[in-house]
Amino acid sequence: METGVSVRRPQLGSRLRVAGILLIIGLIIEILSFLWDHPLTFMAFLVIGCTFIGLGIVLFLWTLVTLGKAEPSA
Amino acid sequence: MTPLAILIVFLIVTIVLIAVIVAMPGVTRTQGGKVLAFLALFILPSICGWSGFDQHMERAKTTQFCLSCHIMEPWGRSLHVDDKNYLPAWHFQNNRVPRDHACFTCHTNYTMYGDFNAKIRGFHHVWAQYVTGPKLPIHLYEPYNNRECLHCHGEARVFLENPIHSAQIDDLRSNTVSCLSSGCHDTIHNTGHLDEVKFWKPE
Repeated sequence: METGVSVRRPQLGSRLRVAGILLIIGLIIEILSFLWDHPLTFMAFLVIGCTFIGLGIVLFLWTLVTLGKAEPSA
Repeated sequence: MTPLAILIVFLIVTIVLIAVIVAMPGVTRTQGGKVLAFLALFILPSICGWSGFDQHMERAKTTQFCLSCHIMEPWGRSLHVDDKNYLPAWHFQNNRVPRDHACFTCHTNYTMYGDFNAKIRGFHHVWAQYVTGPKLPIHLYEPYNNRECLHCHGEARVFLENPIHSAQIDDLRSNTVSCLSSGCHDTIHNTGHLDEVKFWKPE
């Protein structure tokens, strides 16, 4: 019989993946924004990059709160 | 190594650590994996985001940044006018303001949160440039405040001992008499007349 922990595990993994991908996209946008010294790159960093980074962090924290209960030791 | 280079390395290391979690989310089963995930998905990206914002704010203070918009080109040229009556040019050429932060030094507000307010105005500039279109002729959103001049000049001996300044020092400090528009120092960027002036060529 499946326990609650084993049911949560795939969902936890997929959410961590999505959070990680959002963060990687945001951080890559941040790196690219440093290639040009122009107000639009600043705006791109703020509007696009920070949104991805923020969403990634929020999704990770949301995952911790909803799925990250302590697992019983084996 | 410049701060920007250090930040880029930090960003790359963070991306690699996040990629480890993305590729192997199972590592979070262990105590060490949980710590790694917390670092890679929360602490490090937060630091990266804040550091990036700080780095962009510093870059946004440079003369190069302000003049990167084509529409500001005449204002950049005006800094090289060979005429000491051109106030910004005289400040720029004689290092009365740091040349690499010339625009920001005079156009920030010397108040609490003044730098922040200056950057909010910067967002307004971007909005005006790309969305609503600039309102020509280009002008300041508010009349220039003497406070910005007096931040540097206010306590200078040569300023205080000048009889014209000392006679109206209270009015200057209270901004009831403008340094710029009251007939004393009224040749500012004067971009409409750049075809009629000589330019300074630094050796």
